[in-house]
Amino acid sequence: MRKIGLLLIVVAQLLWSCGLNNSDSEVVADKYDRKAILVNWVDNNIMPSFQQYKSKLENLKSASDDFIATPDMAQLEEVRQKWLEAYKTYQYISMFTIGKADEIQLSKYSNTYPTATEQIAVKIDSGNFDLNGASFDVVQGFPALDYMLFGLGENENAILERYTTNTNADKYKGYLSALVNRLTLLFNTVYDDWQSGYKAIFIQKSDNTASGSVNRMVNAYIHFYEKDIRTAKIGYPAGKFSTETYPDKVEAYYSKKYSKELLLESIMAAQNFFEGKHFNGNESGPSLKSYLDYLTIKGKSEESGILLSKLISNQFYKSLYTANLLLPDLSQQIITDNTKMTATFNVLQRNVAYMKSDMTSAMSIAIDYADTDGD
Amino acid sequence: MQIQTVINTNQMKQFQEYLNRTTEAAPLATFRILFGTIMLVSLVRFVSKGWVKTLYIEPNFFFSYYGFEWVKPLGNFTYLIFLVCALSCALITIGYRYRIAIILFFISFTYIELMDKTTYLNHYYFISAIAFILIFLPANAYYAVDARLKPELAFQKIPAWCIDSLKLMLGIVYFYAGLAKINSDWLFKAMPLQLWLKPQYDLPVLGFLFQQEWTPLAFSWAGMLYDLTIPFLLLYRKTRFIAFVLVVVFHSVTRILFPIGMFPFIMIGATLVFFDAKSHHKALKYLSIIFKINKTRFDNGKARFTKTLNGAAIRIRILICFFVIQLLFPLRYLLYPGELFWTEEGFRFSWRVMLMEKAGYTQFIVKDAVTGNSFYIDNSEFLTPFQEKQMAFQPDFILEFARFIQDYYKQKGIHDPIVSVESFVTLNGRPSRIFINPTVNLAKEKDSFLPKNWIIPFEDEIKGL
Repeated sequence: MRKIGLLLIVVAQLLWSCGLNNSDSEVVADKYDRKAILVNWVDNNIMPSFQQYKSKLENLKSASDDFIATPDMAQLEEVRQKWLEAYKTYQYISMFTIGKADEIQLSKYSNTYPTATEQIAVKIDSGNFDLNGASFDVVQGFPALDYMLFGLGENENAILERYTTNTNADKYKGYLSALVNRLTLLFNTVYDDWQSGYKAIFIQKSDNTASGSVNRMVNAYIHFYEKDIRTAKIGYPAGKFSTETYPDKVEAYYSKKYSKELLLESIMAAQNFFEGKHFNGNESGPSLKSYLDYLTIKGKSEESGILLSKLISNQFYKSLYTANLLLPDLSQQIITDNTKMTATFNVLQRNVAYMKSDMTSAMSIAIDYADTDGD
Repeated sequence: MQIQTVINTNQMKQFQEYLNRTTEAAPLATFRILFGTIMLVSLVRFVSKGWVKTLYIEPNFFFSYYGFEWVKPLGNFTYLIFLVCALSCALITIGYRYRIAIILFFISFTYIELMDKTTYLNHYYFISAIAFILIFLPANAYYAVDARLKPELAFQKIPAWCIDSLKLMLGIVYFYAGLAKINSDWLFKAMPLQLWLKPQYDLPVLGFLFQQEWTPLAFSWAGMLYDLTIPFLLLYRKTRFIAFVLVVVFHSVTRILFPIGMFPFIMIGATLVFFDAKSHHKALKYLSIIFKINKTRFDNGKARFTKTLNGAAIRIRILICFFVIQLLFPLRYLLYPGELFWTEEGFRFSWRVMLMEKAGYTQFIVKDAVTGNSFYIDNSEFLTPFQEKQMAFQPDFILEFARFIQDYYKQKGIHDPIVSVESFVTLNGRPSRIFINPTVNLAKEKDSFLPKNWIIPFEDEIKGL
């Protein structure tokens, strides 16, 4: 019945069209292919960034192994360097909270901050380094490493002392190692899942339903932009969500010099993803931007005369520009001049509105995972 | 004066005659069976999809309808309401203790509907409306357990108005839905259909057509004409069959294109009531063979009459009031200034279906009037993504949440919280623009049926009814 029904309506529509004056209709471009976007995401963004992150984590692991074997200043510096590199790459992969990463809550266990230093101390003291458990998100991941590498003492020697002459030195080393292992293990679970079949599933689900990959990915992406960048990196510490500021709630608080760098990386990651830029290289492929350009309907954005995709891209540039004016240590920025943080928050904010309302509306994407009925 | 009275008594007489006219009860019996079955399936589907949990148990906050703030989910007991509702469906289907069953169904279903307006759907409202009508109809007079057990309740014929009132309800739904489509966005911009159809490029045949500029336009016009004419095509015997084919085609297509759940089946099932008794008898005969039911037992030739206007008067009067409200309530939007699609004052409960693609973004700001400190609200702390999405473009939701925020922070010790909102909304593909006046303290505004003057007026114009 359904097929007959379809046929009938198609015939009806064809007959209908004959009666319409079609002379002034525009030439319509070829149909758009969501699958092409998914392929571009997977081949040129997701997998390359995953591979790089994986190797950065391996570097971190070997550096921390070396440090544990011979804990000296040079090795500590090496671990810190590798930690920073991995952390920066992490900014590019954390938006992909779909599939396994969503299931095992990769970002919750990799980057929940502020880290709970007192709990970490208790854990180290107990010698039980088990990191499985929902409440242990605050004692692991990059923020915990940040504390372990930069925050254990007043100065470099005091930090190094923890790993050398301290009576608990073995436990400190053990905890450091547990943190690195856990970070690596979690990501490898995600990586292996993509390698062993999820990639194909992801690409194959190119339909326009709530569970389709584009839909899920856009939701994950907006969540990343709104919650992980705007709210967590700027909003919370700058006191946008409270009556006071929290300079100690910035990302990478203990290293005191990388929070801005990480912020910039994450904004670039968001922009690159939007524009479909390849992770390695400068070319771009099918993306949200080109999809938006395709869907952009006559009369859309007439008001400003600028395409929505252009508005969003421009807003990313503005965000980068404004964020770049901040001090390297956002914590310091909050204390000396919080208005610059607020300014950054505001430019980031505009894109939340563009993406959450205009973009999802244009793509007719449901902004929630709930697969409920409409009417 | 004299003439007036004569006409009135004449009309009165005609009306009394109409009330006494009888018809076969079979169509009402099949309607009852289909209604009960489809609703039972819908409820089982709803529960098995886990929606009771995600929509009514997990959220911490629920948006109430004006005047129904006392209707809230009951935690895990919410399942009990669904159970009662499902059981009453089963009773309705077999026609056992029908009156109690349909009343229970109406109450439990409407209660579910009222628990959180985030999930408002026109077709849920339609179900409630139909259930309300069914309370007053003798749907258990024929082919029902009640009729079998109590022969004094069994009638082969029932008053014609019983079936006509269902037809009238369906007619109102379609016709008003059609009227709502007579607007410039729908008919000339093919909005929002072109937004929804274009991304569906991967459907066979249709997907290609959806990329053509004329297709959404043709669908828009066809949809409008369908809605306006279908009640009449169904009423008129000669066009009835083709009308039903159209019903099936139309609802099948919408089912393929949009996530509308059970609605197409409900409508297809409901329109069967327009067919004459012969086809219903035939259908029931088949049913009798399958379930080994003695159908002839119900064909007793007895007719149930509407007693005098005094006897069944209360029933008739209630239904007349109900239909007057049904006819007038959707028109209340005319009393409001401003663009209906933008302000949504008078939008719900008016059979305005699929008319808008609207999305928005709301950022609430709380300011302590004493200290001058202000901060942003993280909506997701209180709302589910679904609720947040629905709130973003509906002013009454925004107000209700603002007042909740006020109470919340009062309890947290802020003496006089000022709640304002930065919001952007996009409507039918227009670029998003500011929605709520950001300088207004929403904590001081009250919800009512009065126009909400804190909505920034719509700058464009949508012409039409």
